Amino acid sequence: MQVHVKRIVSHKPFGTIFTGEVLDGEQAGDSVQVKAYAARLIGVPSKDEIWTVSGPIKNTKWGDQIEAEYAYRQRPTGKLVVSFLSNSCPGIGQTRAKRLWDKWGNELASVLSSGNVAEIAEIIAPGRPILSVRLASLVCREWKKHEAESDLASWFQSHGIDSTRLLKICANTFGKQAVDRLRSNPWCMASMMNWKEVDTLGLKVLAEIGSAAPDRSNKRLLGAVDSAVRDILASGSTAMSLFDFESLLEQKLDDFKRVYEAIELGVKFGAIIGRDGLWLPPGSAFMERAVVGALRQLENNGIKVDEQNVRDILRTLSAGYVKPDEEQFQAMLHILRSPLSCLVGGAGTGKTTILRYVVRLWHRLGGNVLMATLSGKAALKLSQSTGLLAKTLTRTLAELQEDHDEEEHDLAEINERTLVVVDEASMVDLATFHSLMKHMKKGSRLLLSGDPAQLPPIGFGLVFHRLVNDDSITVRLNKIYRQTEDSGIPLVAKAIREKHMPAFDQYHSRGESVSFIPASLDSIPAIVEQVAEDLGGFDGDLMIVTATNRGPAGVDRLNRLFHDKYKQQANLPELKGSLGQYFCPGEPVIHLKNDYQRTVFNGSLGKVLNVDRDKHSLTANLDDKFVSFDAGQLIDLSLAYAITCHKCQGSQVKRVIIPVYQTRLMDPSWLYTAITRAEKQVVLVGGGKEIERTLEREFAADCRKVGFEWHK
Amino acid sequence: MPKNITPEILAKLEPYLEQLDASWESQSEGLRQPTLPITVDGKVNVRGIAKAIGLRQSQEQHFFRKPELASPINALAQVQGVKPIGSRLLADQHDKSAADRLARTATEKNDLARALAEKEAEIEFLREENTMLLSQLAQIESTGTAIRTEWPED
Repeated sequence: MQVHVKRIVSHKPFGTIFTGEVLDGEQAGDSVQVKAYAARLIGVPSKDEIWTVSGPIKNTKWGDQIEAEYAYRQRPTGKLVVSFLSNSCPGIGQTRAKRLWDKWGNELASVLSSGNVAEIAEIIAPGRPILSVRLASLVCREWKKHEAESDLASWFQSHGIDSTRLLKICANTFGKQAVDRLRSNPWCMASMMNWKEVDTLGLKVLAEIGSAAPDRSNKRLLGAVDSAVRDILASGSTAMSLFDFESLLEQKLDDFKRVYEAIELGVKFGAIIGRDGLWLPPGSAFMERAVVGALRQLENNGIKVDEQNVRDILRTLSAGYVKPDEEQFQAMLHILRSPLSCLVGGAGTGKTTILRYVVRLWHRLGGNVLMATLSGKAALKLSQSTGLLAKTLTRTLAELQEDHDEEEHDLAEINERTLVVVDEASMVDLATFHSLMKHMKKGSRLLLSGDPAQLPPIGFGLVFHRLVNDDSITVRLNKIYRQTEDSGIPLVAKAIREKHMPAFDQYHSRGESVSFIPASLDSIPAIVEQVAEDLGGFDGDLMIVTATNRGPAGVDRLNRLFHDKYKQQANLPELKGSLGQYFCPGEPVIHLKNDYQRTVFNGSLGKVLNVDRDKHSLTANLDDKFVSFDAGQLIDLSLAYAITCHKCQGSQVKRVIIPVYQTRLMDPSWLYTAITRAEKQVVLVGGGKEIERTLEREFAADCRKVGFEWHK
Repeated sequence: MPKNITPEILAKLEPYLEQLDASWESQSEGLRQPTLPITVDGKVNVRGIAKAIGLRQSQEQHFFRKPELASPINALAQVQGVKPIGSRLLADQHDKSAADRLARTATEKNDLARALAEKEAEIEFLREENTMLLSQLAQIESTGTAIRTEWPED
């Protein structure tokens, strides 16, 4: 449906609502409201533009509303070009845009397409020879970009592809040539799309342009290799054996005879690299090589670390605190003396204590420290425990990429005296390591802290897991300090690390134990509900850690269950969030993204304090801070009776309930991570066989095959 | 073809003007008196100049007609605060040269503008290419792969 935009009702970073007039179809002439999330929009709508919108039409109190599944701006024609130029090109107001219209009228669009900067410059700002050329160039650039995007969006729509992300990547990669390039070889998107979809598209498009045998096309063979590379990386690996790679290609091409031809083409066109009997995706192989190279470059920077001096400083630093024991002292000394070190320890082994002393010692020895963690929540905890600012890796990397003055002390900086500390390093993927290593300077040092038994990185590659095999750079902590022995958590965690079935306690009620309640999948929610009540409810000390968002015992279902129960009992007002969730005062919530301005992070937990239904807003206490959320900001908030394991990494509560059911996400590292979130009590609810099956599986990290090679 | 007298006159005029200029410069600043021959109403005395460099009276007209001859005298006259040689003919000639010069400048300006636009278009092309390559690199560095840009033809 084509809609002429009449008014922008709301424009937020996450989406836009506009009203307009329908220009085609049965509803031509009708008014309609369009609601579109930013991820569904190709561009940003402005008044007087024409947009193609697809999605279901709903009857609302504002009249007909389309919830856009896909929306893109039509290439403007006629006088609409003037609005486009004045809306989209900074420095081109109505006057300059109109000058162009007055000169070329209906020919303006084709003049802009021709990209004749000199001709346009003469008209756009007469008497300003330099500025006019700049403006003309800008106008041509914006026009071409828009032209390419709208042509591409139209091509995507006609071929049933609705990924705006892919569209943007194609537009950025091919520019104005995008449609021609895709028509020539749709399999060029094989590294970004599901193979079945891209293959169907490729066969169809090639048949349309008259190719005699699209299934025998070399482009298809190369596309299959790109697709196999995509599969390797999606599995978290960065390498694959020859046999597995051949099987993967055979599945895609459905023709074993052409597998070798495909591999030959893949090698020729740089789609895959062969090394030591393994096939490596070139992108990750390049990053692995670069990271190893950069790690090898780390060297001592001349800061003298004398044992007696460290002991003396430590004595003053630990005054009034628990003094580190000899194991911890030796760990610190090793770290302070090494340009590259890894600190490894299970949950509760005192890694944070070591970090706290190390960063302070380093300061006292004349160095400076940069601390980063994967999650915002962990950054906050690390900041609190060390007394120094820690940031997320994403934020740190963004700041390191910015040019800034030395005066801006708050921004991350690495120099020859910096000790870079990365906590939760077992969860850091190859791409992030690669990005970080680009910023290391001669003399700067790196300390990686983590627990390889926890969940591996979400992204591809393993760096920390491989580095910790090198004893010369690794400090291992074995003594448990945090969780009490009485709870049994350390013993159970140890058993899981060793892939043994732990001895669970019998469940009674609130206490200190790790217990297991057998339950079928359907009965899990009811038992979880009962256990939550036994344990005293969600007063900030209880969390349900579950594997999936969907399903009978998934996050969505459990949150809904506890919300309905709570609402019914308390008869409280509820507020509907942007994503359809409801919130009542007193309910546990989790923040879903990092917000540095308000210092709440992805994973920050808290409670709703009150809701204002008239203003469609609420106030919550997150990490001991009062934070208000208007209608637009509610998208960043979710109920937190139940959360996934990835969301709670870096968090710790007194008691955890863990539903256990069949899902491929459960492996020993998942179970280990979930259990070690608790300080006092863990209650597992579900199938005993599922725990056995989980422990039979490999640790997720061990299932990965990577090309990262680190030798002592 | 009639003989061009201008170079012949210039050959005499220039050393003469240099001499006048030198004697102007040799005077103390602030107390300088014009060294060019002047009329009672303060204009350049063309006859005096013609006489000084040994020209005939009939040859005076060249100073009024030929800017090549009038210009160096007027340049010195301006320095010494003397009214320059003025004539309608010469003024017309000046306008014409100014107009020619303006036209020439305008053409040069247009040429420059065009060259600038061409360079800008070239820069734009390179900028576009650069953006595309950076986008591919960023794609590889974040996801490990990128859209394929090279492939074999069938």
